[in-house]
Amino acid sequence: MKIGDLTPEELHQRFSGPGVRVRIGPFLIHLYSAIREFVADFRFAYADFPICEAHEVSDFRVRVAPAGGWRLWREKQAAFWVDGALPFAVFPRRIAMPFAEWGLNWCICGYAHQFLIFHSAVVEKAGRAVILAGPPGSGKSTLCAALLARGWRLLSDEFALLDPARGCLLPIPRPVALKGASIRLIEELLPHLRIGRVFPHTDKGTLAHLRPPTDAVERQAEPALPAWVVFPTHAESARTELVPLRKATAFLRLETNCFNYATLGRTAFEAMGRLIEAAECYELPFEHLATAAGLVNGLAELQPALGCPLNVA
Amino acid sequence: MSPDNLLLRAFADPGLVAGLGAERLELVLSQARLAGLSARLSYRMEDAGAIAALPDRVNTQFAAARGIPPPGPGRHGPAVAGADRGVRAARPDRGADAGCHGQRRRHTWPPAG
Repeated sequence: MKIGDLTPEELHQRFSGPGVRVRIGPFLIHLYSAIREFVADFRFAYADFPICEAHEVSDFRVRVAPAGGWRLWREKQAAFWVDGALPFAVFPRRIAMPFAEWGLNWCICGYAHQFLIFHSAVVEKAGRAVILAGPPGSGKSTLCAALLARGWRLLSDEFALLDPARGCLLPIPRPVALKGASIRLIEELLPHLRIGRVFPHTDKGTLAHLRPPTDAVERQAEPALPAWVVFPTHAESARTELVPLRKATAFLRLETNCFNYATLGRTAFEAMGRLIEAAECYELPFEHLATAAGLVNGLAELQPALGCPLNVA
Repeated sequence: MSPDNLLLRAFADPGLVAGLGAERLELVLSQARLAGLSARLSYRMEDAGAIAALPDRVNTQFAAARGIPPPGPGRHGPAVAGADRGVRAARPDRGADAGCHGQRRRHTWPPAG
């Protein structure tokens, strides 16, 4: 059963009662909430994600709950609970969905050390993935969405989850967080995909979530091999080009985008070394989104596809 | 911490954890994570020979808590530790730009073209 199979009322009943166990990539999240707006937003963005049986143990227990406090006189507040504790201050209830997404990011970064985790978007074509790494605001999500329009599969908008033992990237195709002007841009570029409610005045400005393509969610158990590492940087009047990077330079740049390099130590060094050895690395300054997407798309078209798909098991 | 606390009981009797249902397992894992004792609980369970009976997902969480992913191919041995220190020392934010390594870096960062 999928999230979208339940009516809003049924989902609300479950969320406010026993909770819902949702499989999101390699993780199983047990989610509770009595906030109707949040449940509706979640239902929209995660419509294609499967609901798991009650006997399956989850990775994280998360509750998005109404909260009080002195700010209540201004607007309704909410709180993000994980493991029965509040890691963050309360926040306006109207931005519960973006906040829950950030909270989930925090859970994954903080605890999922079975993976080497990079701050990057990841898309795949013919079994090979491109890691779009960079700091917030570099244009990762927008470029990622533009590549979806060219037939790439979404593996992740936020994290590259590298399995250090197998060297493959695991999908976690959560909603793509679009900010500011990119919301309209992607709306025009991907009319067949659906963008949810717009959340103005969040900590990251105006934000909206692009619902992940159904195909990406259905194939969320299929890993991909990293073939390219690209560091996009959006800048006005930048010349849009793919600039090859030396492996050592790429290693250092990728390390700065890694959340748990120090935690995993030698394992991280070895896994990242193998990744960089196997992948081609580029810097991508860009002004025009379509040109940048065309250049990245060209990488896959210029090189022959893998002969055999990666074994899922 | 209450004496009825599930985490305390798990430390006292690791075999108990394997018999818990999903809800209670999630609870004890949450309590362990909150207390920063996930890795210690996993070692306690391992010592008691109770770890094999746990669901895979719990074992994955324990492995993650220990910061030790499953061993993979291509290990390079102790030389990696030295190389890692070398790479970190060469980072510009560690002041390496002042030396000869820094001069080389200025030619390659950003890359020409």
